[in-house]
Amino acid sequence: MTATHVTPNGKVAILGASGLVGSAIVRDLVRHGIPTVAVVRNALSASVAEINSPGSEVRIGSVERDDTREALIGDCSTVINCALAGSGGIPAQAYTRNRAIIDGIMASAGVRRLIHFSTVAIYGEACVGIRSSTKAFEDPTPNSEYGRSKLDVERYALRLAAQRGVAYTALRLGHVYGPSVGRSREMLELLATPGFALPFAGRHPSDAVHLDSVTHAITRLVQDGTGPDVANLFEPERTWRDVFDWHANAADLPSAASQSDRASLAGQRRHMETSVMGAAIRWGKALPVNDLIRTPAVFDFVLRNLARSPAWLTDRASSLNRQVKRRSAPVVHADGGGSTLWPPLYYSEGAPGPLLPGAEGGAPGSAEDVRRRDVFASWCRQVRVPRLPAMHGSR
Amino acid sequence: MSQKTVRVGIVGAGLVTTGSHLPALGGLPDISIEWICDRAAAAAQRAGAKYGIRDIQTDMSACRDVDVVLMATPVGTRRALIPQALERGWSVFCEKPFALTTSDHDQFVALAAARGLKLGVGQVRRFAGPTATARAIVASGIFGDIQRLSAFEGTEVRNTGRGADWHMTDTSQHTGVLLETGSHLVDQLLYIIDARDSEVTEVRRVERRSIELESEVDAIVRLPDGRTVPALVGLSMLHDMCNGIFIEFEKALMHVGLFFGDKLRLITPAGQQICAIEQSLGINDDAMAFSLEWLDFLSHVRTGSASVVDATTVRRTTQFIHDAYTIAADSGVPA
Repeated sequence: MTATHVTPNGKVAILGASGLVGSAIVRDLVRHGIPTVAVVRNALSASVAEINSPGSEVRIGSVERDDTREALIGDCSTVINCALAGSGGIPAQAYTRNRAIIDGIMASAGVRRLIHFSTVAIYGEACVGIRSSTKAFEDPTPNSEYGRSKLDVERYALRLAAQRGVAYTALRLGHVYGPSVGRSREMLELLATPGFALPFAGRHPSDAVHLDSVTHAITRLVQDGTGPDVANLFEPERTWRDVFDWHANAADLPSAASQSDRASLAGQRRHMETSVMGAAIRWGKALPVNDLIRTPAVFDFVLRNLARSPAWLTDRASSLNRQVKRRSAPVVHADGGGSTLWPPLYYSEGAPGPLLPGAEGGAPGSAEDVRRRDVFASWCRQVRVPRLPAMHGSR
Repeated sequence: MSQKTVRVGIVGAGLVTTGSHLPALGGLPDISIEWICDRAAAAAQRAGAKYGIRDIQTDMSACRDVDVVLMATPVGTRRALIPQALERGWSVFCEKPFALTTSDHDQFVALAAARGLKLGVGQVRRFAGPTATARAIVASGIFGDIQRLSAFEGTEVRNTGRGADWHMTDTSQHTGVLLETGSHLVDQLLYIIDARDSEVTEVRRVERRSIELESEVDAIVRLPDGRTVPALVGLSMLHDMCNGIFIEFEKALMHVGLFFGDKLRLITPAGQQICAIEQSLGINDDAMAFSLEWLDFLSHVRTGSASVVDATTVRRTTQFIHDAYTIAADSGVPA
């Protein structure tokens, strides 16, 4: 791993500045007095950014377009790419659209440094037995289409940056949690779900990261002007038990029960299942076709092939899937084994490789951790406690 | 027994058409989709290619006659398009929001009635399990009289996935959070309690770049028994809210989830669940709901049977939203 150095002059542009991570980064950079350009794609996102992330310069457009690129980022020496172009229902476009964003950044003459957001999903939906593997860090093998497309774009950006002489840091972002974050909503739902039990009693590393830890690390990275080529971005030494207990404590919910190692290993095996045939046989015993498609191995198999298929074929397949969905019976269990399968990341044993420094803030029990928990508790009340009008209007 | 085939035309080739209506229509018997029309020819061509519609148009006046037309264009365009369709003798199934004003609403309904045509509105959430079941619970009176009402739908807008051509950013099309999202939320609230009318008393708004991002509306709502109760409706693209419809009865507080698959629950005032209520009515799959909505409307067209989404039943929603915008403008709140 090499360290690169860029003197932080000029503005910092954030692509995807209306997103969860992008908007938080904008706020933190502004708070630290760094000239910040928030790039969004439409006037509505710009309006939200202006209100929720005041102090930044908000610009509307797409770096992919030659006619607007320079006006967007031409005066920015550093670009932080938090943008994630969707596939639009056509898996192959997850590659082409996100590569096009990289092309656009690299086509801007003023850009000297690119900080690119990748994901720990490139190690697999659940990391099993690879935590201490150097090879798994340097040459990851994703087992999801999302992970494959993100790894493809991460490497594509690395190649282009090297050709252009642009300093490059790819950050493999862990599971972000905090107020308003989807992952936190999921954990609150699980904590309130009867029968939920934390796989492996939650003792494995979570690879999770509080949103404020992300922004803290990024601001430090920008200020330092130095960064690794590739690093993970999550809080060190925080287990799933730590993270779930943090949520339970803030939301005033009971702590999660622990799943036995035997049941956890069985669940882990199901998630790691790569045999399409095995999934098909299990489906044949009990389940409607809809569940076959949703079985991890088959779902990935389908997506992998759709990603390489022409758009017209993908469209037809999507239409067929919708029709199948309409005809099939409501689904109760997705695993066909009679027990509930929790999301794969909770069976993970931790990702390999070095961490980006700066994400340590908020260690359990610290003042910063207490502050974050108070903020999260306040958000929980905001989304869980109903408001009613005053009674005086009743007649 | 086979029925006469209903010829359908599609106006507007946006996301709701390609993602929801065309998949639903494609699975229904005894209909044929004759053409698709959109000012953006490329969008119409893409949708046509995807769903096997050969006749691609960019001007509705050039389209062949059909029995029913889906009107899925931005609401600002409908003042011209709905009368034009009705004058051609086509029944209209219109995406929500149906009309900008009550006078537009009444004009469309009167024109359809005069020509013996049907008008439906895409209030698809009326078919959602929590909404349909809550309506039955309210009608039963089992929890006593309604005391207070509120309805909230707020989430900070993040990755929209949309570019600069998104209709939500086109202020000439009268878009805003109360009109676009509120036309679902307000309709669900008023439908569940079978409201007779409402009086908007105060509106608080946040807007930027002439885009309405957040609105909170105080109102008095009249119930079927003639009593009035206070109601609070909140919508936001800036903040996360405690989403749902909340009905305070004499003896219970009920939380109605807004979406397909959401819960219907009795809760404490602090929001903690006491119990979930089994949803005996409605469905929990949005794709199936679009099919059901079309079956309902096509049956209305074929036989004159009552329709859940007949435009006359949506008037109270149009009025609530129209009154809120009028009060906001009169009170100096940026409109």
